[in-house]
Order: sequence, then structure tokens, then C-alpha cells
Amino acid sequence: MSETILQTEQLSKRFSRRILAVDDMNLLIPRGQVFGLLGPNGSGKTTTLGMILGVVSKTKGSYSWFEKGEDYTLRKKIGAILEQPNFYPFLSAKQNLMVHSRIKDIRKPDTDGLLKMVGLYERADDPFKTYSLGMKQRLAIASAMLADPEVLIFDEPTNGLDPQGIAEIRQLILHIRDMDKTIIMASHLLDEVQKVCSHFAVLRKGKKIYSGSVKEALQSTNTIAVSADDNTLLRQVLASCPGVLSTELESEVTRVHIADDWTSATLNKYLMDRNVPVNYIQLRKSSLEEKFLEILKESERTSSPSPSQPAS
Amino acid sequence: MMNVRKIIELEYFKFRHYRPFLVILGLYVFCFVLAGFSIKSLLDWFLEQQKDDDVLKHFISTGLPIFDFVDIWQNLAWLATIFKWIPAFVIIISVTLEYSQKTIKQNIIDGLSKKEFLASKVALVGVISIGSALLLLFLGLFLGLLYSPVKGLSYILQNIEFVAAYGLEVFVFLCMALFAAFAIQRSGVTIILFLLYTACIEPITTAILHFHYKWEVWYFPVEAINLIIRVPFQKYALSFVHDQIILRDVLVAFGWAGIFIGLSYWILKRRDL
Repeated sequence: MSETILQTEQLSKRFSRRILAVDDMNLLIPRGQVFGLLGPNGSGKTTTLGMILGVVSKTKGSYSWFEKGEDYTLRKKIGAILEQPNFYPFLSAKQNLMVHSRIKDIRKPDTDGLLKMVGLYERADDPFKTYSLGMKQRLAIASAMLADPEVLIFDEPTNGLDPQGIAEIRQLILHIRDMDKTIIMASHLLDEVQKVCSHFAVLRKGKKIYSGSVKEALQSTNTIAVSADDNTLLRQVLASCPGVLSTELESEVTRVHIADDWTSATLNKYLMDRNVPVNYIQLRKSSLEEKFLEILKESERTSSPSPSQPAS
Repeated sequence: MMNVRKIIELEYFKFRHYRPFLVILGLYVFCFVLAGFSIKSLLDWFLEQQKDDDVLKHFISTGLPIFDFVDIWQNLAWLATIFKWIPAFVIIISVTLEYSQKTIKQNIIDGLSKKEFLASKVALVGVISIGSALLLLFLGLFLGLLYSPVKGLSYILQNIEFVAAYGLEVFVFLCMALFAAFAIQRSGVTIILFLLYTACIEPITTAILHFHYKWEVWYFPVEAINLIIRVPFQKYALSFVHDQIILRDVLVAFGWAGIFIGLSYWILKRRDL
């Protein structure tokens, strides 16, 4: 089994002389990652996915699935939904899945099992056109799972859904993630990427401006919140701790900025050793939103002021 | 190597439950059979009205021998060509629906090649054409055995190639509809433009070019399609008529089928979905 699921090199799409929708996109997605493509609307997420799925012709560059290239038969091992769920409106869920399995050369698809998984079993024989958007999206996920694919691609999977629908779809994606599938997900919702993804790349005007793991992006703050029964003693001990750069008082807890080689665990041990039992200690994560804005600000500073580029 | 069974099954899975398709195809069969059964009485009535005509009055006692073996195949095939627009609508809807519902995009994402997608539509065209030819064969056998004074096997088999010619005519015509659908992509516009072109624009243009400017017009697509089976009925009034299929017509028709399929592929390949 190949360890690299997807690699793109200098993948570019120019729609017209003025519109460069995707610009030299280099992505490397190893097996097992839940990879988020993050960016505002029109940043090139869907165009990038369209190219690697063979529905948008590329202007330049290359991509490779499973280290085997661009052949269309490789797509049978990919479960993907681009933008909206697209099905034959007059066919039922089951009949639609039959069409998909015929394309993917699956002789005996487990349609019942999949429809149970996404909670559509009771409506399996009703025509697709009678479904709500949430049900359509869930059917799309079921069809993406048909071939027991190695990688799944979701494009704004919760777009347009009500809060309950969003929660259901996220639950499903997390469920699929736990089945050890690689997932590529495009989203403009930071909070969604933060909750679901292990790694992410940030796209802006067709360019990749950042990529890395979600965990690292969130841990770079080095802020720990601590609290003890005796907070005065705690502050005294912290003041003499070599790993503590500064402290800050909040109502109940003390915010501690620690040195790079310190973690919440080492701090806890240090306090324990000095007989200060801690009743609360937690690494303060910054939200991905703060990080995202930081990245955007950074990229705006480094990139020379470009002429206004219309979105794709 | 393309999996022929797969692409036929795929089209079958997609449309076997689509009621408009079944209704239109049912209508096609109904018109076909109804025309076959009513044309005889219609012609008899027509002869009755023309009893003063010098040529036609000879047929009044016997009726026009349109269902006599040997003649029946060309007569029936030519009559049936009027109905070829009905399956053309089926083809146009089947392609434009895939665009409007974006299922063509999902098909490609799921791992179908554009070539396979086109092949599945050509397969639908092929199946409808073969079905049409079979329908003609059964109707011809039935009516011939009912009305023809001669019923020998050698008479039945003579000129039976008009059945295949009818299949070819439907095939090329549906290929043209296929191309129109891929080029225009929206069902309403496609149907209107296809009707306009095949029933008005080209027939009028070729008529003007041919009769006014003395052009040869056999290479125009609709003209080429119509020429495969030539009008048989003058034979009852005039001495000369084409009662054979001409090789050139068949080759030109095949050429157009190739061009329409090729252009459809070119469009499909070139456009983003």
C-alpha cells in the first residue's frame, strides 16, 4: 500500500487571462491524515479538488493518486463529493447507489449497511428529489463510502445545513475518520477544520500560504492555566520557577507563559515536587481562528501588493 | 478495452425507472404500430377520392399493393422514418438531464472516463436503433403475412435489407440528436433547435440550393439521413423509382454518424464539467 495518498506538483488552473484560480499548488497528503483545505470562498479549493478529480482540466503541473499518477480508474478508489450532492432525482437512494456501484465496478454493494450507517434506511426506496438537503448530503456520504475507498473527499460538507444537520454530518465524518480513512475536506469554516482535521493548508487567491498540523498550530501559544487550593503559595512557587517566563492573574486561575522546552506536564511535576497540589491545569489553546488571521496577515505582509484578483 | 456490458447496464440502471422515458418510448411503439395498421384503410379512402385519376383508378379494385412482399419493406421503412423524432427526444433528454442534474460530473468523479460516458450514450442510441429495426421487422412480417398475396420465403427475404437500413437511419439521426445535446446541454433549447434544424432549416436550405442553384446536396446530414431510404411510392404512378439501397448513401450516413460521435467526444473532452 502506498503511503502517499495524494501529491500535487505546481498544479495550476487559469480560467482566463485575468483569472488564475489555482497557482502552483503543491500538496502532499500521506495516508491517515484528515486534511483540511481552508480558505475563503473563491480561494481555489473547489477548483483544486476538481482538477485532482478529473472534472476540471489543469493548465499546468501534475497530480498523483496513490503514487500511481492521474489515471481515471484510480478514482474508483476515491469517494468524493464536489459542491452539491448530485444524484438522479427520480431514482431512490438504493437505485442511485446501484448506479454508483456500477461505475465503480462493485458487484455486490452493501447498500443496506451504508444507508443504515447514514440513517437513511427508512427512506431508502423514496426518490432522491423528496429528500431534504441534510438527507441528500448523507446519501452523498454513503455513496462516497461505497467502494470502501482509501480516501474520501468532502467539499464544504455542512454548507447550507441547519445546526442539527451540521452536527449529524460532523458526527459521520468523525465516525469515518475513526475507520482509519484518509479524508480531504475543503471548508471555509475554521471551527469545522479545528474539530475534524489533523492537518490543514490555508489557501488564499489560489495560492497555498500555510500548511501544517492542526495540533502544532494550536499549541504555539505556550500558555497554561493553573489553579491550586492555595493560590498565594502557587504564585510564589511559580515566581521562582525557571521555566516560567511570566504570569498573569485571572479571576480563578493563573495564566502562565512557559519556556519552549516546558510543557504542562513538566510544570505540573515541578509544582508537585514543591508540594503545591494543583487542582486545575490546562494548556490554553489558541483557536484556529486566531492562527488563521495571523497567517493571513503574515501572507499579506510578505506578498507584494498584487493587483486586484477576482475570485474564481 | 471498454467493458460493453458495463456501459449498457449503467444506462439501464439510470433510466429503467424514469417514467417520462418509458412513456415516450411507449408512445413511439404505439405510433409505429398504429400507423402500420391504419395506413391501409387511409390509402383505400384516398383511392376512393381519386377514382377519376387515370393512373390510380386501376388500383381501386385491388387497393395499393403497399403491403405486398418485396414492396412492403421499403414502404413500411419509409413510413416509419416519420417517427424517428420521438426517440431523438429520448436521447436529448437523457444527455441534457445529466448536465442539469450534474450527474455527469459525479459519474466522472466516481471513476468513469469521458469516453466511457459517451460510449454509454452511444450504446443507448444503438439499442434504440436495433429495437426500432426489430419493431419494423415484426410489424412488416405481421402485415405482410396478413395482406400480401405472395408469401414465399424468398419473397419475404427479398429487400429485407430495408429493415437494417431503417435501423441505420434511426442510428445516424439519434447520433445527430446526441451531438446537439452535448453541444447545447439544455433540454428545451436543444429540442427546439434540433427540431428547427432537422425539420425546417436544412430541408429548406437544401431545397433552395438544389432546385435554384443546382447544387448537389446529398452530403448534408439530414438529407443524407433521409436518402438512405428513398421515397418508394412514385413506383405506383411513375415507371422509375429507387427501390434499392445505394451504397453511397449508406457510406455518407456512416460518415455522419462518425462525425457526430467524434464531435460529441471533442466537446466532452474539451469542456470542464
